[in-house]
Amino acid sequence: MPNIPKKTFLPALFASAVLACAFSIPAGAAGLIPIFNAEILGGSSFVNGAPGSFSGNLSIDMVPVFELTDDFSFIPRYCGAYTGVKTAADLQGAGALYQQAQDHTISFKFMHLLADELTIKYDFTYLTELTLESASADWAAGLYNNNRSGLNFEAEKGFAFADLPCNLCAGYSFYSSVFPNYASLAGTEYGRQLMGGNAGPGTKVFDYNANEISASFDMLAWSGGIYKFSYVLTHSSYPDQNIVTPTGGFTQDKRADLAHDASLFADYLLPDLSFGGDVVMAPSQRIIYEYGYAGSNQNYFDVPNLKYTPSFYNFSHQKLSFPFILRLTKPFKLTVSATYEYFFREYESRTAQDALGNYTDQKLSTGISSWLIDLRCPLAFNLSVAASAGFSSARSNMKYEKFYRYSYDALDLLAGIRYEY
Amino acid sequence: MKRTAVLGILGIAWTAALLAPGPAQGGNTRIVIDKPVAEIVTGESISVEGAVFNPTDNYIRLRIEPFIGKKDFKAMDLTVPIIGRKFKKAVTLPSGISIITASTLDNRWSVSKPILLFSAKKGLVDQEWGRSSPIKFTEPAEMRSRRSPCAVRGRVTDRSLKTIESVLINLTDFQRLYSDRQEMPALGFSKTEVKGSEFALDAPLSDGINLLIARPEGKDAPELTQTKVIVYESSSPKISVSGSFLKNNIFAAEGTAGDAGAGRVTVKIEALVREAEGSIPFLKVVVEKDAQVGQKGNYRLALDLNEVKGLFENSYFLITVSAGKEKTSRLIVFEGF
Repeated sequence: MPNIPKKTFLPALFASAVLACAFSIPAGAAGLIPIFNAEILGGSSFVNGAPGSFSGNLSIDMVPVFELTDDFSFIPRYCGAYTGVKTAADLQGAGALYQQAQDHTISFKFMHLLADELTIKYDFTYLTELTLESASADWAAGLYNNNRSGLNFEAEKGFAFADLPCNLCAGYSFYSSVFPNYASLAGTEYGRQLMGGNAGPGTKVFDYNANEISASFDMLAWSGGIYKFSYVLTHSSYPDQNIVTPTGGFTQDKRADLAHDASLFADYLLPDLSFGGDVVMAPSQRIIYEYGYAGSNQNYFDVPNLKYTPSFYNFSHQKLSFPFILRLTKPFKLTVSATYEYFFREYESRTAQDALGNYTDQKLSTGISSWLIDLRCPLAFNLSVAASAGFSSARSNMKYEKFYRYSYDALDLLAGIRYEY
Repeated sequence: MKRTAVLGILGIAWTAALLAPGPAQGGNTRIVIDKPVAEIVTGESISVEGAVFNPTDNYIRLRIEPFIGKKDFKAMDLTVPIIGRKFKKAVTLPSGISIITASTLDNRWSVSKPILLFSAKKGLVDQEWGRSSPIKFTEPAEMRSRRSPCAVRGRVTDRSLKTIESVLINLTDFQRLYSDRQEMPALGFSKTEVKGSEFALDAPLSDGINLLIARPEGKDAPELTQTKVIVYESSSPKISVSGSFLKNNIFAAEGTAGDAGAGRVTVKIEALVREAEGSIPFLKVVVEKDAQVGQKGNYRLALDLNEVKGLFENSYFLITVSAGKEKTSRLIVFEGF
């Protein structure tokens, strides 16, 4: 069992106690619909053929839905997860290869149904993530531990009775992320002395605040297929990260990023597959395309090579996913999800380096192919068997991997039990 | 040694119970099917309605799957928008028993409900079910039977079929079974030999609606299963009974008893009712008392339907009139107020 620090454990325990009390109320009383999921999986991951130690993933999700009136719902939620096995899906988008991680989320959501199919939703969320980069480290001292709190407002208008039923949704979010244990060396007293009193990079360089607006549209086609388009614009500001100058110094200007993310989603039901009537499968196929562009005013100065790169964090990325869901109804119930994903990221200004660290004239790019399989077989007593396997293959033109791995092959295998109420 | 054996048996039993098939589950969304309320419907077009709690999508899937039905009516899959947190969709049912399943788009949560389309018309009308099944029932030709055990005859169209399996259950038992989400094959099937493409078995009927479900031995595909609905009504030559719905919500059971009993008959009226909306219906005795037989041999008992709690459309009344060893019963479908 991981050693969870008190600062994180106590709030999570309190929230769990509150929600557990809610679950003790008989279902049906005062419009309470208790939802509870718990999953425990054991397995291992392999990176470039090297096996990791056998470990496990554990997750708990409690969502008691309070139907206060026919039009008003209150939905508190506690979600906690421990990740001992990093999956191939977690590694996409240059996810860090932490040894272990745990996160705890508490949220309070309100849904208000107004007339004419208009729904207003607003919620407050608090998330804390703890990471361990080595087995001997302490959870509370994780360098990349972070806490995130946010407010979210959303308005959704439905047109269910139109010839083509559709929904319009618009939202605004504000969230703030703090890394309590991370401080740049240059931002310390010692660092500032070294720099001769010049403005340093800042101390809490990872902390940021974000404002986000979103819009989405989905519709149900005559064929029964569902199509959805969404767009998210995010502005992030780093109050303690100073801008790098072409000479390697820092200004008092702060880093600010602007990200655009758009996605297209299509979901189709396919005809049943039947084999002599003894085996019947109901398949469905999804296609998801995502495009994103992130722009930042932050630059980078490579001191050993004396190379300055403006707009260092500007990049575009694309992702194409093909989730295929197969539901076996005979001779027994089984749900299989098989997904192929391709993710590609290319930096606008940042160039690739060779194995010795010399810069090339190629823009840094990375492509990741992933194959993910998930199986679930329901048993009795609200239990189901869960198993998953994932394989990710990342290839990049960045050959300088002294501090960060850009090209790798990763495999993960997990199996366990899931309980749902 | 004994303790080890007991623990071993318990372990095996626990494993077997765990491996019993259950409903699909998953995700943080929950779906409830509120309508149709009754498991027995008589109209082909029904409205499926329900609620979705904590939805992550704006749509759900509805699947109408014949449990025992026509081969050319394949499972029907529909995508239904969620309005507020409710969904509603008019669907057309095939004759026979259908399973309605509502699920999230990613199929992480689903809930099922069995529906029996008893007749496309009002009242009790025999249906041609199991068209693709190799098993065909030939007797009794009628839907109603006055004999128990009932002699059931049939033939098979597949000459290689040597043995059939069958199970006989009362309709209320079927509803109770499905409410526990137990699969039909979990019932105990009895075997009948097929000789020269024909078979015969004796079905011990109980008063009310009986379902005789037969399938080729070892095959549980819905398309291969054949169903025979037999309404059994006990019949004594000395007692007659009929039921009718009168004005002011009165249900009258009346008939003649002749010289059966000492001028009195016991009239018992059972009704298929629900304790609460959405709960499992059960046959409840709403009245059981003696009725005087008049000089002409007739008797009559009136029941105020307003006093019967839990009645629903397409429910039914089972009237049983007995006097000594003589007993006659009659089933009357309730078509609503």
